[in-house]
Amino acid sequence: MPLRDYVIRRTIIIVPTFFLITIVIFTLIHLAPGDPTAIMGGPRGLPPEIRDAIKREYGLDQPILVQYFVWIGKLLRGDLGFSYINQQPVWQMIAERIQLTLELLLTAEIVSIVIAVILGVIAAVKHRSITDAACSVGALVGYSTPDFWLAMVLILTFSTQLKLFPSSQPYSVGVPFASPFDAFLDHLRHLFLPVVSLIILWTAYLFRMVRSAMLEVLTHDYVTTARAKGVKEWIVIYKHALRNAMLPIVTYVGNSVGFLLSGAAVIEYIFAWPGLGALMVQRTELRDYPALMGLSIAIAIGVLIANLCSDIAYAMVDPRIRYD
Amino acid sequence: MFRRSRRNAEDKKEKVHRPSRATRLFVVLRKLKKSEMAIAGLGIVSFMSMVALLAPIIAPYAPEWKGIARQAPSMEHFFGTDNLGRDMLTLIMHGARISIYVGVASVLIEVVIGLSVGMAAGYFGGIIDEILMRIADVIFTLPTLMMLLLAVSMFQVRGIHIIILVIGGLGWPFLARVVRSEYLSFREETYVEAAKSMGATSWRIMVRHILPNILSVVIVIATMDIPWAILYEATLTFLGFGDPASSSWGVLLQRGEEHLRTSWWIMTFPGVALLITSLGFNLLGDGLRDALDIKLRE
Amino acid sequence: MKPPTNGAVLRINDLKTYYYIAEGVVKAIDRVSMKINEEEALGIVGESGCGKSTLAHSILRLIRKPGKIVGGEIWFEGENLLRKSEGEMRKIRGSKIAMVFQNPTSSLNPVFTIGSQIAEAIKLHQNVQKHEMKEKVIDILGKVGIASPSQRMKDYPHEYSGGMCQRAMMAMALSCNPKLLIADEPTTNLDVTIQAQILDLVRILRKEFNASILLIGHDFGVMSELCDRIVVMYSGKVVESADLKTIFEGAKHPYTNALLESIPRINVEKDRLHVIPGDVPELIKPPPGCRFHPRCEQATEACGKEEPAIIEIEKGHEVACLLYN
Repeated sequence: MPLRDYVIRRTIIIVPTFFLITIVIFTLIHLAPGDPTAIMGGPRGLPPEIRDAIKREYGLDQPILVQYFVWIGKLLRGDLGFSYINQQPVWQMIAERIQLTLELLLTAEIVSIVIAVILGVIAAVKHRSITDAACSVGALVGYSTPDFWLAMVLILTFSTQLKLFPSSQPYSVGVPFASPFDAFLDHLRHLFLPVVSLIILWTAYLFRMVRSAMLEVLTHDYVTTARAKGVKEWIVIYKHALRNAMLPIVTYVGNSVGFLLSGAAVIEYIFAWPGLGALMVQRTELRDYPALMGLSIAIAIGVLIANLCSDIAYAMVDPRIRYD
Repeated sequence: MFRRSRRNAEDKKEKVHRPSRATRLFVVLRKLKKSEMAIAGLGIVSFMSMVALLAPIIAPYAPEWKGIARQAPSMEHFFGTDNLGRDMLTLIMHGARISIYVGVASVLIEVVIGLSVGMAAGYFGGIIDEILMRIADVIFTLPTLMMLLLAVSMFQVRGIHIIILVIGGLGWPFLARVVRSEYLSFREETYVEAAKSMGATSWRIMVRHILPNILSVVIVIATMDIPWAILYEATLTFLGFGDPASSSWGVLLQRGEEHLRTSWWIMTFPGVALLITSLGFNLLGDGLRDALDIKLRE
Repeated sequence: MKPPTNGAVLRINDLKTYYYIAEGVVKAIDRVSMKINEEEALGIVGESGCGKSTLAHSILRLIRKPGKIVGGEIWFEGENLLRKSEGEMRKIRGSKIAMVFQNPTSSLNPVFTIGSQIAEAIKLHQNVQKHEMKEKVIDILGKVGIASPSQRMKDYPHEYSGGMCQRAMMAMALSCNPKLLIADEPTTNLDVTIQAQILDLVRILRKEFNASILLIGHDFGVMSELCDRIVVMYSGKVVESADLKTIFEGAKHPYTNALLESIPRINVEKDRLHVIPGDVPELIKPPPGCRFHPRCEQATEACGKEEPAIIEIEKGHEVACLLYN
């Protein structure tokens, strides 16, 4: 089928998946028996009036199914819920913080892809050489490194000792900047260490994928055909082989949003970076269930859209998949 | 009774040469011996496991022993002491017990769930397959840490076993998918048809006939998931959702973060231990995968 | 000085291609010589592992690690291909010498259209303007028998059947009018009916393009449809070469005769099919002397000691066997 039909079909599938996601998230939170409001609000808990208000608002004394549909109804109207701890609507909390997280994620994603693809292709082409061995070992170590530990090590080395990069907050506070460009540069300096901590794991993982995909593709018959036609070797690799190797990579990149978000949560926490990840951690600490549910749905929608984009991108590069 | 009669029938035929399980195992072991990666991995894993097992005996100090606080690494305290004066080396050794225990236990749960789901989905197909795989998809694509946080949040208690349950309970989709695709292809094999015609139940076919063939894939995936489980436990504990009284590496790292600028050793060495342990399991997993010649299809 | 090709399109002298693997050195081709004349169709017959595919790849120097061409000469158009630089070889590949492979469906890149892959071949070797390119592609697709070429050139390989893929491959190979077309088991993976169609096609194209053909296979039936001369290979060496009629009616080498015996014939009654006993030897440690002697019914003691040289027993008929020394 032509691409357009595939896109339409794929987009429609999002609807049932979305509902399934709501069921999963709802189930996860409501598995615990007893009164959730009892442990909300952290160690000190919530004042009784607020607890009653929450119970009323969310119908917590109602049967589970009713609660679920009430919640779904709100969601479909765009109401992501409130944090009953600080009275803020969830969407507002998200709006305040989404830009910072997106900066982190997008930068990390792009840098990772570029490095992983370049090194992965080189390693595959120079299979069993020193370059390949070095890259593979490096990737294995990178893949085994705990991201938040690495973040702390980087902070100690580059921030505390060498004083090259700042270690917290996305911006320097209270410092007058000569120009907006200087402010932007300052922001970049703040962005540097968090991004590096975030990408090591992911780049290592992607590198392994690219390398193994390339190694496999290079054994395929059409690569020999291309050479037999007289195609230059670098074109054989980048045009004929890489195009095919990238196909599985596109899927991984699509799934990476979930992965990077997980990493972002801890990294944001360490660097005091007020993004969505840190928000998630904070709300979990406070047992702010209404906010958690809304936040999770928002994140889930983001992931769904990212997956949709990657599936469409996949269909664009692989003509075979449109015939499912 | 079934077994006995089968053996009698076989004796009457001529011997068919088929490589026995022992031979296959031998071939695999030989390949493994050749793989330096697998050996290195196995070495590291064994070393860490030994440390973990023998920690109470070989640790230089008792974990509760408190000496001078915040001592930098020295001859008496190889890795220094923490903010309350406890010896870091001892704490790390004891931490190994917890972290490795959590890693292996979570993966065991993950394997049990993943195998069951994958078997059911792959063998029976149809609507069971649809439902199970949709759920698996959702859990798989959502950010793992987010799901872990959600799951952990509903428990009032903080503890190791909560974390084990949560990590295992959310980590099965990938394994389930792989197992499912294996069962999908294996159920078309002729020996399955033969077994069915002899009246074997589905359960028997799934477990006795097909399962042994996919064990190697399961082992590889499980080995490579252990470092993730350890890492997730450390992350959750680090963020404050674990048991602060235990000495798991996550707790040590959390402590290290609190005292990052004053006592760098509190954070550094537990992290190195984590890195090395993960590295060991990853090496072993890689080596196993190459030796068993696995191609992870989905 | 007489050009070393002597009226032949391709002349191979003493070619040696070895594979260096962990277990040892595999002598896939060990001192093989042959020639292909102008507008001639030469067939190379042998069991799997005898080196025929390696031979095809060696001509175009497509041998990659761990394989290596270690000796010999390949003369084409007055030059030794083994002495040419990679850049010069690229100019020859696809234009002067073209190759068609065994598995047509997997030999075409799945993510590019058929048309674009053919166009790539043309663009590499000819100076063709964009607007002319489309015409050329349609033209060559039509010549290989693809219906509605202007539509089908926009299709992807997975939309083509096996037979159509092979036609497309041939279109790609012939698009630049090569002097020599190497076909490495082009019909092995195709249905018998499609096989016949492809062979017909090759016959027609051979006339139209005046190309020499090197056909590689293991099926005498297929060979006899197309080839003027046959070379029989065994275990990396040439054991017999003659024109088609001679091979079928007067083959001299025991292996050739054994192969011919193994062809099931519909009009001859037999209880058991003729089978050559034993297995193809491992090329790491080939048997001493004549490589076929362990399986040969007429082997003598000398066969295990001395390697037979290639002797011309009559004009155009060469055999490597001690029986004819």
